[in-house]
Amino acid sequence: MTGAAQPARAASTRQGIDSDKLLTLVCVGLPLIGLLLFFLYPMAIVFLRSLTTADGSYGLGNYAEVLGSTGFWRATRHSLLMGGATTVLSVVLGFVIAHGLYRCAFRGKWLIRAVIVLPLLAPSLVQALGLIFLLGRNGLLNRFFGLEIDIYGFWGLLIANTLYALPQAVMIIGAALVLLDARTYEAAEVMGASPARQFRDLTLPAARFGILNAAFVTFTITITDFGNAAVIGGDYSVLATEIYSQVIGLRNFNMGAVVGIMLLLPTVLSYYIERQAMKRQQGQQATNAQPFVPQFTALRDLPMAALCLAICAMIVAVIGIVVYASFVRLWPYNLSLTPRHYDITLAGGYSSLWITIVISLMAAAGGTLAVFLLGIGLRRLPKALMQPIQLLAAMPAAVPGMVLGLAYILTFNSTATPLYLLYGTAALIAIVNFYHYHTQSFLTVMTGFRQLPPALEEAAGSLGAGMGRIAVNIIAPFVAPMLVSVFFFLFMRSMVTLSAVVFLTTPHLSVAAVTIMRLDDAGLTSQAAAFSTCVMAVVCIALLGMKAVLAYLSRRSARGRAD
Amino acid sequence: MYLTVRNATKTYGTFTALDDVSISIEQGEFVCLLGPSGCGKTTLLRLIAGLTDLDAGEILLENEPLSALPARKRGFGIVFQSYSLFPNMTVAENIGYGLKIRNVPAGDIAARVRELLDLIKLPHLADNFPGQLSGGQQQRIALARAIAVDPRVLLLDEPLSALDAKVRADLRSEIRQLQRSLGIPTLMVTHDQEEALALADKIICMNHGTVVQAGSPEELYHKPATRFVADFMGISNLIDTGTIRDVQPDLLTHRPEGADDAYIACIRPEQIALTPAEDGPATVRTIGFLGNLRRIELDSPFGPLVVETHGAIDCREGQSVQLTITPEACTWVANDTAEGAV
Amino acid sequence: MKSWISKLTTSLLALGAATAASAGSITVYTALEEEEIAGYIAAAEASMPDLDINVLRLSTGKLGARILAEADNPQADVIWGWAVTAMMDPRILGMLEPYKAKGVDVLADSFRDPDDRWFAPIGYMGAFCVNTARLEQKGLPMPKSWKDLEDPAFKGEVLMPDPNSSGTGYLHVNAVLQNMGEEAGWAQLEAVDPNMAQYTSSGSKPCKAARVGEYTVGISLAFTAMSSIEEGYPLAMVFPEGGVGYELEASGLMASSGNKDDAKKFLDWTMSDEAIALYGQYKALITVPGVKASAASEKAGLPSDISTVLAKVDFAKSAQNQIAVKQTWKDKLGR
Repeated sequence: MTGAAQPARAASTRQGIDSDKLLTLVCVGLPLIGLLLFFLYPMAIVFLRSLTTADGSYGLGNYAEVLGSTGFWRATRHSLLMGGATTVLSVVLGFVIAHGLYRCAFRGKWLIRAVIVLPLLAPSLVQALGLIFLLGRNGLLNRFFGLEIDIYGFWGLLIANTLYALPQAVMIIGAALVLLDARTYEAAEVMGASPARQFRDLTLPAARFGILNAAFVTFTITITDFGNAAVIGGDYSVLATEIYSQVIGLRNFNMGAVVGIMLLLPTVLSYYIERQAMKRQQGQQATNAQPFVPQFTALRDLPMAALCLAICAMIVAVIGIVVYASFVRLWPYNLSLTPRHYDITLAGGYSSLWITIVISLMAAAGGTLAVFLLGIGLRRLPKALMQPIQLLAAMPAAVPGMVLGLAYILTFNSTATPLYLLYGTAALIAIVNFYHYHTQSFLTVMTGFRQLPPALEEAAGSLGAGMGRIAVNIIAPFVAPMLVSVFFFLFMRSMVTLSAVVFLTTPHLSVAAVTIMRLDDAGLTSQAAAFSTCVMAVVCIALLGMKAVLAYLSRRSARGRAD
Repeated sequence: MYLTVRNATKTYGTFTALDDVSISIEQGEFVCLLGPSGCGKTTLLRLIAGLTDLDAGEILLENEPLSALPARKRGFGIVFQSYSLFPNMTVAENIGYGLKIRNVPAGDIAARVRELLDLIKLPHLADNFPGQLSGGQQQRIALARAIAVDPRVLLLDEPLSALDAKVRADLRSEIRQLQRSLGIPTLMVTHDQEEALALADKIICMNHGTVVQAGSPEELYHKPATRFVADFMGISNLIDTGTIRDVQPDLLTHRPEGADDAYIACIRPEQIALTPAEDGPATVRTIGFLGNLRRIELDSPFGPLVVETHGAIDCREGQSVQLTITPEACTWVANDTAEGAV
Repeated sequence: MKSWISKLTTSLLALGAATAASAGSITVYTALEEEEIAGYIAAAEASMPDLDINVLRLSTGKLGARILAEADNPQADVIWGWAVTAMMDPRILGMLEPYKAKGVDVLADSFRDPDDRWFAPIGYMGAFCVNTARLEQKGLPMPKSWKDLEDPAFKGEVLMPDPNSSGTGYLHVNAVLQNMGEEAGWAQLEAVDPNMAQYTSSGSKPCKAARVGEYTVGISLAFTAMSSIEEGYPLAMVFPEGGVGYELEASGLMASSGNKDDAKKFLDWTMSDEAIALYGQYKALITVPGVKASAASEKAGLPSDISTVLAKVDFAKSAQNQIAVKQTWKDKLGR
């Protein structure tokens, strides 16, 4: 270095620091501003509403009233029991399927992979109808075997909730199982550990991160879900039905807000428990883990394959029967086939399908970018700052869609702020869809980031790469599979989600899920099923796109990993 | 001084990783940071690289402070223990990455990559992905990637630790040759004293976040300053002052003034001569054959001793022997707390 | 292909900004049924070609939540065909501007607000949806009244909406109470309770569950029953003896409207001869004197003079007692 070059270098240095700090600020800042504006701010307004008593003054009167009612405590008990039962069942089954997919050897895994996401891309009406057509009092099962099984209530709700939660549990647990280093198993094998011991001593502890995250997500989405409870829960009242009856039945949003705020408590608590349990498992991933390639073992793999297939058969049956019914003249009385239900003219016909695709793409693209930036930024923040942001990012799942949707009206239909410009736009619907599913997207991307060895970033940094370059050249390719998963998860959910969106559509702007609801409201259930089938077909095409992209990526990284 | 670290201090919570450390590297010098795990050597390397921030002190490169420069602006090269090649890039892309960042024309990058691949003797692997390569190959490529940008300082963080013995020895000499021919000032972190002795112009021996001794490999081996260095730099017979006074007082000749437990005698195994003698004061306990030398463990008036001799020796286990130790062979070292040496 | 592109273009335009209410265009919130909305709007736009009518359709409950949530900055110009019991909520009435639509004089006093904030030329009514196939299979007698549903043979075969979640639920409960008197009414509801399989959150669900044979009797809406019968389901529509509950579908002008002229024009149209003629085509319950109900409803078993099957309902009282009744229901029958 010559002396003359020094001042210039020093100047560019200062600028350089600023550019990286600025980028960190942007990476954390933009998603954080999003979370603050589109989640925390609306929730603050909900909180304010929960404190607003009937006479317009502020106080804890609503809380006292809710806490004093027997219905609330019964619903709380039911919600916790249902949340717990669904969590246990989904995590166990999710683990079985994930274990089958990643730690066992049998053919036809692609089928399981394809089927397991079906409940995510099916509109809620499909799952509800499917279960009733299949397991209802006049369902196929009862009629065929001459049984009198009544599923309405706890068991029906448990099945419905599990079907919905299962794909998400498999996604998260699978991400943890696929990471385990083959060499630790080889070591255990040599030391004489039986397969059962290896499972107990290696697989379970290593999958703890995934299991806990899956449990958190499952529990949260179960206690906030209204759709299943309304359709198949019978008289089994849960907190989400309490909110519905307060907000929709009694038109008392303030009381509904109280229950909505209360729903945050178990979620924050379970998140805290999960973080505590995670504290001890902060181990870094080695840069050169050997992927595990399972060998066929009849004793292990045949029952696992059978179990996985049985679960998948159930999913296919529930959704397939609705697709079938959409082609039937009059389910269940006239089973002759007809395409007549596909001639949809009411409720806007097929027009909403296109705008929904656009909205879903917006939600998926914007959302994926936002959680990616947040993931990058969080790596560079001190722990004290990082943890509250992480909690905030994991919280949206705890808010029932209906509460979120109404909160959006209260927030964005106020001319007091420029945010009003968003009200009634497709952009706001895309935004509400993203924040509704922020938790799952965030946790999936964070799972990806956990696998990224810090040495890669440091090496690139030492070579002179700035943060932007590292993000594009090093981090993005590494977490690409997770980003693709998140993109399509958001896309699928945005295509079919109703609860929050129903309050944000306008005469000019309706989405597919709302069309399905309107058709069903009009009594045209078969047309609603037909429309749902079309939506699922569209999403399936998108899903095939995802498979293609993922296959391409994994082929690339397989080239990079084969040793 | 080319690179200077002055009074560097770094704490993590209540743990002091570096306590007022000062070191320096000359132009073209190969310096090893040696010490047991947890001694602060990696922290020091990361501070120099700019991957960790300093709590106090300063780092100067040619008298210019570096503290304000982020890692990417320092123009250093770094190689980690875990190969840390970018899995999504080919070998050639990995090596050329730093040049690409510096906006070097593609043609020049390709030429430089070819040149470096030749230098590390892997010209046929340009289009492979890292996962397809052995550990040794990956580490050579990591090295090529680090030197591709003509780094002002090359930083090596235990680059050989993950490799097997043969590859390690090969790569060790390659690193040495490369560093000599390119003249890049190099700082390597290692916990392997043999590696440090073989590679370094200067060894900086660290313990508990402080520099215990810095000097040439010969100095550190033959003139360790403390019991810790003596113990860490290969095998040594450490004998307390009282025993020396009782058994062979002439070894006290070079002893600095001080209380009995302030200094301790360090006698390297090869500095002791053995002669078989019926009435010799020491007895051979075991003889270990190590190829080029023999390691003999003795019971002696000094206590248990280890002696190493080249070539054959005429004694058997259980035999009595005479010991010859000259005062020059006995180095008196400060008796720092022994537990650090474990 | 071309239409896709044009649809996509319109969609993309919609992404940018909310379309502000402008002259010649009004936004109408309604809970009327899809089919009739389509019919009315086609006719209204034909007779008022300069007027662009944007309709948002939501079920009664959801529409209420939306209107109240938007209260600080209402988006609708007109509320059209919405349950009068919901309309009478003081918070909603406060948002309405008195307007006496042309032709509204023909309506009896009980079908319009004394202060002209709302008027209701049409309405809908409740009904029992009885699945005849399941009735036969179970060997049950056709229920003719609430009392008939007390028969233990109906245990687990009857569904009704929860009045706390559903306006239809309240419609039925309120009718029973006003018809039989508080005491006898509650006793009746309590007597049926043991047979009740579920109290649902949706008003149309009991009928939809009954029509696919999940249950035998769904206490629900006449509209759902009639459309199901038209679809071909083995369903009978029964109006309980002593009178069935009904609801008026009221319309009113939003005080916040930025285009009151057009909003008024539209409200006038809903009382026009053309509109009233259309009511006869779609509606079972028309409060305009001398207008006959739809042919379809007659076919589905509706008597030509529906006043014979309607309960005597005082809507002011219904709205007033709402909260107390729902609370009592929760205490006595809540599950």
